Amino acid sequence: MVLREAEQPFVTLELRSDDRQLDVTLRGGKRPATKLREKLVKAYLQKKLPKENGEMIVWARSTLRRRS
Amino acid sequence: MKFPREVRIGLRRILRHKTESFVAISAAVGLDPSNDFVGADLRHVDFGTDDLSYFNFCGADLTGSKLWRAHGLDRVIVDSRTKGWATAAASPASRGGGIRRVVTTSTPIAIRRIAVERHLPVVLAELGQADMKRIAALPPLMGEDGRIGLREALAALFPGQDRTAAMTSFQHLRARIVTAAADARVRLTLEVGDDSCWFAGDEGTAEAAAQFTEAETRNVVRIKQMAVQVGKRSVRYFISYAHADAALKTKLMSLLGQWFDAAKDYVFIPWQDGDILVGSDWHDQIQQAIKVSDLGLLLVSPAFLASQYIPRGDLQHFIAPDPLSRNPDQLAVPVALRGLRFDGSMDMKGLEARQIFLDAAGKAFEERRTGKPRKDFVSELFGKIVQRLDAHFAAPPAAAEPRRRPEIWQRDDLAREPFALAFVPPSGRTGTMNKLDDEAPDGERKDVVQFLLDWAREPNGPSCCALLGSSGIGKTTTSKAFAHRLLRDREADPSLPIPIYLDLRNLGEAAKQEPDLKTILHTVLRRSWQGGATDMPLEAEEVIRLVRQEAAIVIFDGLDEVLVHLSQQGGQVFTRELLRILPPGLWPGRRRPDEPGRPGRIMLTCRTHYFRSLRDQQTHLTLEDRDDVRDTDYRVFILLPFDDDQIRTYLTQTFPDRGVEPILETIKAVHSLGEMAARPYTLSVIARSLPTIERWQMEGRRVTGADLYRHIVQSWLEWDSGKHEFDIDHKQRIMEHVAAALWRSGGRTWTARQMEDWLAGFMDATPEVARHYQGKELDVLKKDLRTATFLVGGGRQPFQFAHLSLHEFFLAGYLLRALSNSRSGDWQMPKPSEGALGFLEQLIASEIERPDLATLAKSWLPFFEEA
Repeated sequence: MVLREAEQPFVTLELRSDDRQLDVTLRGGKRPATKLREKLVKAYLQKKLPKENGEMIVWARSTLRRRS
Repeated sequence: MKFPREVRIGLRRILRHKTESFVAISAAVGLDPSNDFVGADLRHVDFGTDDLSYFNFCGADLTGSKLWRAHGLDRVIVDSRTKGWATAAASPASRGGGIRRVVTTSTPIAIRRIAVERHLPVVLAELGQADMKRIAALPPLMGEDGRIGLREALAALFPGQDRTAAMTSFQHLRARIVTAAADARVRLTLEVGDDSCWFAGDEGTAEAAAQFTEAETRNVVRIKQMAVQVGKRSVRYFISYAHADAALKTKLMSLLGQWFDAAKDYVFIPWQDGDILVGSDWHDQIQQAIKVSDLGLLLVSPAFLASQYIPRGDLQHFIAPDPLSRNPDQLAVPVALRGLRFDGSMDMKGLEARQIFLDAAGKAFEERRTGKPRKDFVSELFGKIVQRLDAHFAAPPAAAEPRRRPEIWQRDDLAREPFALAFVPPSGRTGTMNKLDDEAPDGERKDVVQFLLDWAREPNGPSCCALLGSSGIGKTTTSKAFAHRLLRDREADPSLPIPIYLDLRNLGEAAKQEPDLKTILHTVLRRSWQGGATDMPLEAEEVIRLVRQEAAIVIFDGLDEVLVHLSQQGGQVFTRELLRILPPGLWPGRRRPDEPGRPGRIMLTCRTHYFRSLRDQQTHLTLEDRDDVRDTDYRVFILLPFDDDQIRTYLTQTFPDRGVEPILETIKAVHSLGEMAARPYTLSVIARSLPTIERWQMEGRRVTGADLYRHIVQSWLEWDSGKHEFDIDHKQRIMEHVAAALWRSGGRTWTARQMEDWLAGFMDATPEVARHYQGKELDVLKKDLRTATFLVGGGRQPFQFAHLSLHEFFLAGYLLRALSNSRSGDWQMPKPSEGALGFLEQLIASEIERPDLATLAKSWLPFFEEA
């Protein structure tokens, strides 16, 4: 079950309810949304996005919208 | 929540990248292989055949990923926290019980002492005093292979401890090094085997090379300068299409790509940001692409035209309204990808049939389904593209040619096939090194650094590049500016090559000892040291490795200034040694496919008139056609002189607090100086002389052209002194004699042979000069004369003074010397020009200790022969 999520122009970020896994789903690209691209997006966001205590999960928990 | 703009751009790049290559995409968005994948989620990723050398996957999850086809696995860094590594790296065949592929990453390879010493200072700074002392004892114990005997190491680190205790301490120390290295953001570990230990991690060679070049090229002040490209012209193109046509577009481009690769006169380079899909920001993207491209292909289909993102009439912004338009903003060419109806039933968004490419039978690409007609379609399209480019590049600026009236082109249009956008026939502009002089004036002109950057980024570009130009034209400044710019650009795009700038002038006399490549590099690296500006030493072997295997671009600046001291054969040997840094066997097209690493490139700078003839230049740079070096292996650029705007820019920057116009007036007021300002170096000398001129003016001295020329000649000789075999006084005297001999011959130019014969005669007739050069080969002296800063020429051009006024100045010097030494016979020559006599008058006036000279000169005037 998705606990929190946020839609971006190109990706959907979802924090799973077990609170351990942040998923990245791609959409709208002109190339196939392969695992390779998904994982690179994740690594890229990990590098670029603000983190809390060095953890993207912690950041996601505090930032993404809670989904009922 | 919205991502910052920078992040959105990066995401778009990942989503739109043309390849499915993990390495290429991560490089494109600046992900650092050594840091950014630590602990990363890489489950189910197919790494294909990528080279993963030095990727750090410590703590990463590779469960379900496909690694077994990838290269460089023995250099991947993993640790005990890495998940799924062994399974991912084993081939499917081996999983069935066959032989497992051996993955040797568990024992990282030893790095050499120089690399350890590069990293140790920063790592040690994170450790305590006791550890610092202990570890510092290790490098001296390292063998050639980087290993240290374990017993020796333990004895040095923990003297007096028994082996068990020492091993325990050793393991703790290794752990502390890991932490310290992580804190220092350096990859360095201390590894241990059965009977030896070694440091592993990043060699840091690339960083050292970058630091070296940074130190060598910082503080370069450069005015944008144009160059002309000799040889193939690069054409940057983009493609725009509708999503529904993706498959058809791929088919078209795979066929067209083969034609692009085979083009005789052009190198086609796809736009760096990939293709442009019709979409919400289509208009902006096309605008942007058009700014930096030479050609755009719009793949037109019903889906393309149906797009709501292309308003009616909008296409006219990008497509020439008539075939004669040379508007540089309208280079997009529509190609009929699928069948279109021109009977008025379709909304063509303002496009007309004649603006769209269809084949000879009026068919679109999709309508040509079978082999031959389809290939013919593409071949015809390619022909038209080349025709269009020829016309575009050959065309004079729009303002220079009156546009033909619309009714004329409409009339012509009736008799023309749909795509005939070009009227101007292609000119014979292109060529290779063997057409240097003929082609240079007509070649493509652009900012020279941009040319060089294009070459550096071009995926299949030639391995060598020669930057040529006459003396003082700015070759050194340009190559430094290029290296500096490449370093800056690499910060944003680490996939770009590392430049290594090497100033061959630093070789000095060592060039005469027939040095081999390593000695050349070693000497230049040591002597280039900018006052200890870098703390990361770089070795000759490392430079060679970077160029051969890590795509670095080595820049050898000032080749002519070494060759001038060598005989012809010695020079050839020297150039061959330089090119050994990247043997032709490693060049694209000749490289064995299984050869490891990515080979880099070589750039050379040299004066155009260093070589006696054009043929000499070609045979020299292609190693006398031996070693499989061809002239087509070179990209050649020739630097052009400054134009008026560049001179103004230079003066504004040099004298920011003053108006440019009064300075220009002062320059123009002095005999012919205005024209000499077109060379960056002479301009800088003039600018430097300005305070002197003004001081002279304040002192109430009459400033003459001769004063300024004397000042300039003196500065030039001093600047040039490293290149001289002749000493400065003799050089000045020889130039005076050359000026007189040329004047007597009635011309302004000499062939190389004439000049050399003259020198031999001069040395025979002037023993007081000749005796200073008795041990020297005449060849070397001849070359010194040919490359004298005051002379230009070479190639097919004869030699002459860089400027007529310089010829006149030296001639006046000759006449004054004759006058002072009472050698009236020297005045027997055709009457000198007004300019020369003007200089002579000024020179005589400045000889205040010889007031008699003026009268004497008057009495000698009849010696001149009237024309």
